[in-house]
Amino acid sequence: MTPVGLQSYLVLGAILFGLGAIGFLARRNLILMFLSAEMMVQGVAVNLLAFSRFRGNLGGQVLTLFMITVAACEAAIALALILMLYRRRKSLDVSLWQELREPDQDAVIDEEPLPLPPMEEPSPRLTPAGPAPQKREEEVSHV
Amino acid sequence: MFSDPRYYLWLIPALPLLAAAVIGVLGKAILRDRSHWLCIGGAIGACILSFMTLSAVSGLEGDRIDGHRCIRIYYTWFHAGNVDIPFSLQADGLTAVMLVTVTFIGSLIAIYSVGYMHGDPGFPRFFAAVSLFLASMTLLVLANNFIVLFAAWEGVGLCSYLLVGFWYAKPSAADAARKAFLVTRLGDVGLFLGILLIWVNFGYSLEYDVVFERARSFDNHGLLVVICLLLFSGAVGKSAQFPLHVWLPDAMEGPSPVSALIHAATMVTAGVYLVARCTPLFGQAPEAQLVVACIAAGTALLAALIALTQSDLKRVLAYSTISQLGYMFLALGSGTMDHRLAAVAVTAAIFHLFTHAFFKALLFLGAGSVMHAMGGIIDMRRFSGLRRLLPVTHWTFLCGAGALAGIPLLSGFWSKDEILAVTKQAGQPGSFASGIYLLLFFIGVATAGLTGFYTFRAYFLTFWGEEKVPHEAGHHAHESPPVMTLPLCVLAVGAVGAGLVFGPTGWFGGFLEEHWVNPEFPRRLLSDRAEHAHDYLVMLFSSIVALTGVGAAYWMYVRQPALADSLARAWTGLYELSRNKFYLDDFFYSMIVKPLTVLALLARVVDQYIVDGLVDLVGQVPAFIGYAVRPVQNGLVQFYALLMALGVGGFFLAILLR
Amino acid sequence: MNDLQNALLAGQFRYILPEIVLAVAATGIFIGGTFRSGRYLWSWAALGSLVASLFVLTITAGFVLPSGEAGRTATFSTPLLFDSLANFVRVLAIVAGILLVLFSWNEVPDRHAADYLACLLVIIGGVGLTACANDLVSLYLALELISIPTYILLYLPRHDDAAQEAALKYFLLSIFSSALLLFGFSYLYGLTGTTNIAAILHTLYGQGGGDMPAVAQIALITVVAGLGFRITAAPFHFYAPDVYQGAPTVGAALLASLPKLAGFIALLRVLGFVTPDGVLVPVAGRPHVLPGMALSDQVPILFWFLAAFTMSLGNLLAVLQDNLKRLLAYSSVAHAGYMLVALAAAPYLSERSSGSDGVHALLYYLVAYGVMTIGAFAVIAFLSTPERPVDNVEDLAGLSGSHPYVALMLAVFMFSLIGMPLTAGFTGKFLIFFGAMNVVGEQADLYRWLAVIGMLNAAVGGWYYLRIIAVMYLRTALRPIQGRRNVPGLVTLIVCAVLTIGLSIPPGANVLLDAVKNATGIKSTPSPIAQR
Repeated sequence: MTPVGLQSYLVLGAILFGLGAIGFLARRNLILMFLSAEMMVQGVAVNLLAFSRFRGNLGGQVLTLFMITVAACEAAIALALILMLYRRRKSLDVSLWQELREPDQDAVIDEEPLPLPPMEEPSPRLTPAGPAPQKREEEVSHV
Repeated sequence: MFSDPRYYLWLIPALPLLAAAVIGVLGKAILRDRSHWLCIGGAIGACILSFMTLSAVSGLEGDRIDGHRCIRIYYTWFHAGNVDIPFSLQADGLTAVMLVTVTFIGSLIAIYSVGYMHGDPGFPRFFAAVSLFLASMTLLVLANNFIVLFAAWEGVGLCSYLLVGFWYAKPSAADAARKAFLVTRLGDVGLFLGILLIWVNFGYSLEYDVVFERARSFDNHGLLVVICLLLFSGAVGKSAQFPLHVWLPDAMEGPSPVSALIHAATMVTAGVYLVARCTPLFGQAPEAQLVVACIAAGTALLAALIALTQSDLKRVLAYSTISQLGYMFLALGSGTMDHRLAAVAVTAAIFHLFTHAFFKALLFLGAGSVMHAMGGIIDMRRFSGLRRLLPVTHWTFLCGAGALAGIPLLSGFWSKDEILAVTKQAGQPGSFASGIYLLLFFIGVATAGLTGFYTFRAYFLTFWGEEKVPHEAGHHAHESPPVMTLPLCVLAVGAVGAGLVFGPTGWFGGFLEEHWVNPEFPRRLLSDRAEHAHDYLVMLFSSIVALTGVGAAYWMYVRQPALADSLARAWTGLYELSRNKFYLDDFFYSMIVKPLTVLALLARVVDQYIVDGLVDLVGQVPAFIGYAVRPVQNGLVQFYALLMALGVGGFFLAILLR
Repeated sequence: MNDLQNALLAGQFRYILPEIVLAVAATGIFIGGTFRSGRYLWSWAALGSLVASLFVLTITAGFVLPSGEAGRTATFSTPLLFDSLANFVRVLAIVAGILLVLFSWNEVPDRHAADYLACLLVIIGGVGLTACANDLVSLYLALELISIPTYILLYLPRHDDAAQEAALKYFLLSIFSSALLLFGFSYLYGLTGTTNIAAILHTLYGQGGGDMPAVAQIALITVVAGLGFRITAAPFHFYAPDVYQGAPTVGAALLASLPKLAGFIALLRVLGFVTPDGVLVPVAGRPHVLPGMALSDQVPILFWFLAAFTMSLGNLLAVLQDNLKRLLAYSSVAHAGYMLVALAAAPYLSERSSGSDGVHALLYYLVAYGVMTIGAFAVIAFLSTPERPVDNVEDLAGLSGSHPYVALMLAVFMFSLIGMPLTAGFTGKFLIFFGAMNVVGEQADLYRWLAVIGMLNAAVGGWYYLRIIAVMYLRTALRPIQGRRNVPGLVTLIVCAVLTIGLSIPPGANVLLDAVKNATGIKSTPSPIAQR
């Protein structure tokens, strides 16, 4: 069995990085775009670990650890941001966010719209039984 | 303290600057209608100090102070690396003459403006800007190195911008201001580049005398020519030479005192000053001088032709300024033969600058006075025969017009004559490009004739003929107040007498050469000056041509006004006209007037549609390219990311496959 | 790990005290903000902590590496290096932070003030740490310390569509560029086997000048791309116009100043424009070159194109803009281009040869640009009210009538951006273009052309900055500008205007230039040492 050389790892890292980049450029879903960017970082991580092994020191691994930490941090922010954006547009499509552009440019509209989301199965409901609970005054006004 | 000019030299720009600052801060709230006192005070203070500097400079016998033939003070501005960028001032003969001209005319115009700008809501703003201008302009001529010169150069451009756009409520004024600033900045790019090349090639120094000393042993001739041409491009922009002259006629949207101060007497001559100051550089590059002379003669002729048909009095004067500046550059470009001729050429140019400042400021102020009386109307078709209504303006305007036209013994005669004599000398067989210079000489003479014609055309149209006053004038149609006429009279005395005092005596040229910090100028050669400077044949020739021009104007606009009227109606009227007139009419018309009219129209069309259009087009280029690349900014995140990725890919390709 | 290293690591905490102060204050404000809201309280707290940090910095700034072998060992092992450049940048960052706090005094709603200010403090700390970073790990962390709070900060002060879009765009493109940067870092590490920047530079010099190995070239390009995003170099600048326009004004001012500062410092460090003491500098090879990657043939060419492209694109598109913040964004791109000119010329310049220095010019211009651009944004913020926002150039009409002094200060900023003499913008451009003209050798003509391109660009720049001045002085307003009573905002304006003028005339110009010179002085005395 031939040992796997450094080059193979580097190629793997580059492929991961490239796939991530392509995903970032091609996916229109905000969450998937973010995950693609994370994939690019994972490609880098493969590079770093391979180099770390090759060089016989821990520098690359340390950087990888920190990278993962930072990625987690970014994920938290991404989640918050994407939630806010979803609330505003009721969609995760990134191309809905192109209001800020050169003033005389037309909006870029895809000829093929995204497929409609599949119809959600209505969640099953139990037949109500017993007396309906009375709502208090404040609650009503709040709602 | 006042015995040594080094103690007060810095005050010359500082006084007007202080005035500008105080008016700028307090003008609107406190000073209001009293703002002019500070401005006039600053100007007169600077003027007195300038005269003191002049006398101090003339008192410098040889190498008395600091071993220099000039007064010099030195501060550090900032240091770039190991090299100090100095903020240093110097005063030699050239500087002193420029200082006196600028501050003297500036003071008079500031006084005049009190009457002219009276009641204007921007009264303090006007005087703040004028003070700032005086500060920048005096700094420009006091500078001892190129970088301070450049700073002041931009400063005067800024003031010009502020003052041209003074009546900003008029869209044309705001446009003119922008145009003036941007067109001159186009030339400034060249100037800055020239300065950078000087810095790099002359041992990282920008001080005049160091640079000029090193230029003498500079062996890369081609580069020196390039440097000279780059410096000249700055002068072309600032001094409104072809093809960057287009801003000056538009700049007439500013108040008349501004036109007199900035666009006639002082700022536009900064280019002449720059080239004169750099004579040691230009002297080594006769090719550059030839370019200067050709552009100058071309500009002089073109502008004079255009001035023939203008109906706006101030625009006539503006084109005339362009033309006269062309004369100055023609002189500067003609000193190719030897140092002797170069010295005479440069002094001739500065002498013309000096006399021109008087008579052109006078003419503009006169035009302003007319405008004042006519309720802001300056179109010569709307008024005529004002000589009884405005007696002082009329007589002083006549003095200025005579000086401009080159009527013998008036100031313009002497200085223009010196320039023509120099050009003729440069055209002597056997010297560098003599054929071209001979041609330029004849262009200069022809322009002298045209100058006589258009100047007096304007004069006769305004002050002769039946008395006609536009209705806008209302009850204003009377002579201007003394605060305006007094400066006119002083300037008229200068316009009449300055030439006679300084020209034939050779004082002016002698003083300049004596006290000029220029290593190449031989000193104490006053005796053989006259031989170069005054050529009696040229004098006679040019006076005849000029007087012919004046006579033609008289004939067309006073004796036969109908002729001039029908000329404007072009071809259909022509036949009828020539049939009904005398043979002389016919001859005069077909041999002189017709070709001239055609030429003038042609020049005007070329100027307005081609040159102006080209300059505008150059200004539009960035916007056009901008429109072309605009679609990349389409607002899509992924498109941006794609472009970033492509950018990285492009760099990979460029570097890996190099 | 030997004792010396342990001692150094332990001792280093003393030297990052300024950043620790900021971090502690930020944490305090984050926590405190959940109990008390109110922008004045937290603004005072932030201001106090910045001043405290500055104070601590002045006390701890006297750090000197032990001389001789020990110092070299330390340079090659320590993650943070507190040299004079680092201290210079830290002072700049804190001063910029103070200006930004004053700027945003009345801009941020009470509810978000605490979070906003805490994020700002973290960003300042991040810039400081970037300047100290001597290790790829610490550099990456410091840069992320700037980016992550910026995402939040762009979004906090305003909750409208535009702000959300701006935050989204910045976030997505920023993580994309971070990935590029990391990719470059991984190759740098692989090439040299260490994450220590000094050691990386050292190893790379060992190979002398000329061509770099292909791996290093890949690393170079991706690192420049990743940092190019932060300094808004074309073609990595595309986010800038959209984000500046959509973000709150104070966010735009911050983006235009601090990430640019950090990005350029990171470039200086990683590419070896500035090298720590003790790194081998090859004497052989091309004369007058800086060590590091900057030594290679590729770097100057890369930066040459980057500079020409960036300034041209920025200016050309700025000419078309009506929206003020968008215009200033393109202007920011254009000015990044001028700074890149300094960087492109730097490898061919040295103090000894010509009396000009690309890195000095760059640092001077960074300060000058920071001052004038913060000032320009501060004017916009100062004049905008919810009832009458100042968005477009036309909205400034009649400003000279209603606010003569503010108009005057805006004119000062604009003239400085144009590069009129007696403003910091002129002195900076002067230093940069003179540097480019000073390049000697076979590349000289190339750099002269770059200077010509730069000056033509500066002339184009005159066009659109002048338009702002013209509108404000030469037009009358349809609706008068109200403005509010906002003393801290006014203070920001005045400080920026005074600095814009003061940094270009004596004595301010020389104070700053001397500081810049001291900051990079370390590199002018190369001391060749044996290979480790």
